[in-house]
Amino acid sequence: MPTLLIALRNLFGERSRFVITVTGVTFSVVLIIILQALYQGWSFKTGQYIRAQDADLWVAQAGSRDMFHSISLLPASAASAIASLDGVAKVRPFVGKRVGLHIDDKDRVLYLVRDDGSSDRTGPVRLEQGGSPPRPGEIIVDRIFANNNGLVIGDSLEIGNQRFTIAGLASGGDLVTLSFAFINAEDADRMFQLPNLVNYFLVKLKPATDQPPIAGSITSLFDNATVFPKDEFVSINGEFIRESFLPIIFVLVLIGVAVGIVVIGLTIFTSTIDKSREFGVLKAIGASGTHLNRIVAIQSLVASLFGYTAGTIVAILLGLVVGRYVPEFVVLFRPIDFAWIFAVAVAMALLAALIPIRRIASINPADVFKA
Amino acid sequence: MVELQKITKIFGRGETSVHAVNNVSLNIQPGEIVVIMGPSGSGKTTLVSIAGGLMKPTDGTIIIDGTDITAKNERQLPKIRLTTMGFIFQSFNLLQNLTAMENAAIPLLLAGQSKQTAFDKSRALLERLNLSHRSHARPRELSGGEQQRVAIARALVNNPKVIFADEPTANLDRAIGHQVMQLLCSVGCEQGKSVIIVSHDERIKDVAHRVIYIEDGKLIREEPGQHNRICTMRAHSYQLRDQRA
Repeated sequence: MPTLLIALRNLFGERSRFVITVTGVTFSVVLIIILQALYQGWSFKTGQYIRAQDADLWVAQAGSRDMFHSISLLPASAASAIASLDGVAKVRPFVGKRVGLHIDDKDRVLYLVRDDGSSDRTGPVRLEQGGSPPRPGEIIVDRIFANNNGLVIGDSLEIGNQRFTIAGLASGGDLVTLSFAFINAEDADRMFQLPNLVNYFLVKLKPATDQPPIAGSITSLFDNATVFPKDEFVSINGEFIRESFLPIIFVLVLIGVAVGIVVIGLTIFTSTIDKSREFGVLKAIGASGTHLNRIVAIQSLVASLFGYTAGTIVAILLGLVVGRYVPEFVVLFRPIDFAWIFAVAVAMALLAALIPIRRIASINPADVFKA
Repeated sequence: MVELQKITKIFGRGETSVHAVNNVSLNIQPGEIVVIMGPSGSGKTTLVSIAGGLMKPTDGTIIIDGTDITAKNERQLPKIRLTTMGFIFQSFNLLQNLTAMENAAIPLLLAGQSKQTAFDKSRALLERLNLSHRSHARPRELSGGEQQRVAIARALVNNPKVIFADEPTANLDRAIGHQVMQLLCSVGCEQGKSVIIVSHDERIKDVAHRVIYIEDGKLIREEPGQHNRICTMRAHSYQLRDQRA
């Protein structure tokens, strides 16, 4: 296949230009992969706490949506009625509230959760350090929150005129924009002032029980309730991430793609100009337009694939290294993302090839007779 | 056979128009070597470009091996050039990133022949041109004479009916230029190909059957060349002695 032979020789015969092209594509691919991985990482983190809870259904007040931007209040007494339904294995109340606090004159947000210390408690996903459950006057915070604010076990936090001592550091409760923290039931009841009310019921079903009939039974018990399967509740709580970040990420991905197209397009274009005479010779001796276009497209594709490979490796390394030092740098790499970014890299290469292909079409083969 | 019938080429329009070629007719038989001579700007390169299907005439007909190439479109012409024509250029015009063997094989590869076949034929041709020891060298590693021999191999590898050569000896010293002339002579005589050479070099008349003079786009004179006097190639192999050796 002469087009492959010529394309590869042209590409690798000019190492500096090849390195510039691949570097440009690498940066573009790194940008796209990291943005997508950050988006997925943040989306995953938002649902991590809900996902970790041992519950199939979340029962909320009718009209309530996510945990962070709407209010849900249900009568605590409803627990026994839900528990009595056939197919329900366990019902747990969830009580929590979003609170603001100041640390070193900076505003911070915590989502305080009532931790009653029972075996079915809604406590931290994992305790990394210190003691749990919290006793009166104690608080367990996420270690990312602690790291970001220079806090250690034994430090104190003032929340709503109440002082708490950090008794433990947990993981799995950081949502990037806010963080779960856990306080004793007595402290929570005093702070939240919600007598005989809970925010949600977490319902665990018996094995092989269908969710929809139970959800229907719960809503028929209480006009004022709505029931979310766990996955749906995870998705609803990730919506604010999608709504806030997806448009920005989309624009940045477009910028990344544009950078890639411009870099490949310009370097292959300048290479084509340099080799105008050779393309003219090929035209003169009988190469068709398809042959010549294929040469340019192959050059563009190969450069793009090298850039994609290098970009993927660099992005994964960045994710591993930077995440250690910057806790908010939460990345989640998914095979499907690598697949669509690969498709983007191929599309980028083909679009970039259009610029030099136009140039080749304008080369007059008769010009090769000029000395 | 190459047949040019009343070829005219006009560049520009109105008062600024230029008749680069003006009503030129010419027949070249198989095995015949024709040299076109004339001053710079006389229209000889334009004429060869038109004859080679690289440029459309404003008027006239070109028939090559029985095919009217002026009736063919831009999609059909490359295939005709690939299968019936060979081109040799003044500045060799080899692809700089390919080896001598790959350069010579390009027309066959473009024509869809397998890599094996193309390289076998290219290798055999380079061997006949005393270049087998340089088959893996890139153009920048070859002398001018070697590059022109690779270009000749490239022009011959597809076994074309017509060879167009533009100032083939201009960038070569006397000895190497002589080699190239002998080579072109043998291509015409031994292989029965029509050879059209554009040149300023008076020595190249030695290989020509006919010399055609062109001026201001018009064919002004035709005279016999010295071919029959000096040609020793008939019935001989065109393998050359490497005169530098």
